[in-house]
Amino acid sequence: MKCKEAIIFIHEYMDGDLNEQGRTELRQHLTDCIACRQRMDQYTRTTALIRSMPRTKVPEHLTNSIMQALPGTSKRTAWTRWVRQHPAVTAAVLFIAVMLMSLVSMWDGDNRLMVRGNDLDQLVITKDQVIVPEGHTINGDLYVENGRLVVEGQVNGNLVVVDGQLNLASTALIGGEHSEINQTIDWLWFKMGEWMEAVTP
Amino acid sequence: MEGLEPRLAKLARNGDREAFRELVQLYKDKMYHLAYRMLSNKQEAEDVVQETFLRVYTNLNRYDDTHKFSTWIYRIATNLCIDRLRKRKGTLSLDAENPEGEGIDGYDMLSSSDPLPEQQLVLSETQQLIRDAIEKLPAKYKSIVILRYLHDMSLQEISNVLNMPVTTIKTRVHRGREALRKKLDQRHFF
Ligand SMILES: [Zn+2]
Repeated sequence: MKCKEAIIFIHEYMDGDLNEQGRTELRQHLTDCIACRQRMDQYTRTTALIRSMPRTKVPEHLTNSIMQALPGTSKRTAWTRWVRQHPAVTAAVLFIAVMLMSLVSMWDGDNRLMVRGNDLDQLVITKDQVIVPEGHTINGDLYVENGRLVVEGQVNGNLVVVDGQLNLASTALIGGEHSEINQTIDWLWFKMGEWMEAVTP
Repeated sequence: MEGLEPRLAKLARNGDREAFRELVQLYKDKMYHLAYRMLSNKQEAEDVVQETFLRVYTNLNRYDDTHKFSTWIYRIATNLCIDRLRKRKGTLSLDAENPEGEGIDGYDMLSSSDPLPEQQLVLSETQQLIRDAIEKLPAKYKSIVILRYLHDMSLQEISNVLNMPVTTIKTRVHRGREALRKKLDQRHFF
């Protein structure tokens, strides 16, 4: 057997594909040929070295990033799934967020006292409050935003206070309806209702 | 009795995400090691693994469970790795049997491997030697050497994964083995 043939036999042997007769022939050649013996030894050491290679650490987040990359797991649906699983936490977080927002907006100069209605000359208006003094009469509706409305006299119409407070003295006479609307709070409940409806099955 | 993997694949196909997660758990490490060894770059390895599972997921309805799931997923991952190696700018097609001189294959400069690919592991000098030698193998030999020796596949299994005749795989194993031996010999390993 020539060395060229022997090398093919060596590979076959290493693949586990050399039959008994081939093995005998190869063995015969190897006893006579140092070069081929050396070659076979080098292949053996090469493959042993490959097998000994250490494995790198697999990133821990791999499973999650795989799952998140799947269609139908966009960030948005992942978020709504979370909301669905934690409704109470979500409500609390939203509430705090909205309260913070309204706190912030209180400090921006946009919340000036605003008064709308008839007979405004009948009113006493200070920096943050509107007073209908005792003995005075307003004919029509009165609308106050961002302030307190104190009624001691008479209003022949509806009272609406937005983002403020309504104080009715015992002497007050109101012809129509009176209501207080706190925009941020109403907005909060409105929004929360909307959100919860969107995410709960 | 139906095997675990076809069963999980079937459940996943019908929308059971937890079943798919189990498949991910079963194969993510193997796929990562394969991709990392092929590409020598952690980010790219991760990208390939993600892409592999994405393809598995979107093609679940085409998975034919008379075939081994492992063959299928290995095929997807191996092909993605080979594609990436091909796209790497300036990568020499080492089929053009370049005479193996020290660093003359132009590969050294163009390798996109991490600067410290295995920094968490202290590699012995010989381990670095074999790692570099494998890294520089042409893709078609590299994939086969990795599947054969790092994933313990038989020649028949590799032939199924790569969809190539066993005789071709055999020739490539022999050539890959010889290329690595030569490289180690040049570096005076023996
Ligand atoms: Zn010989």
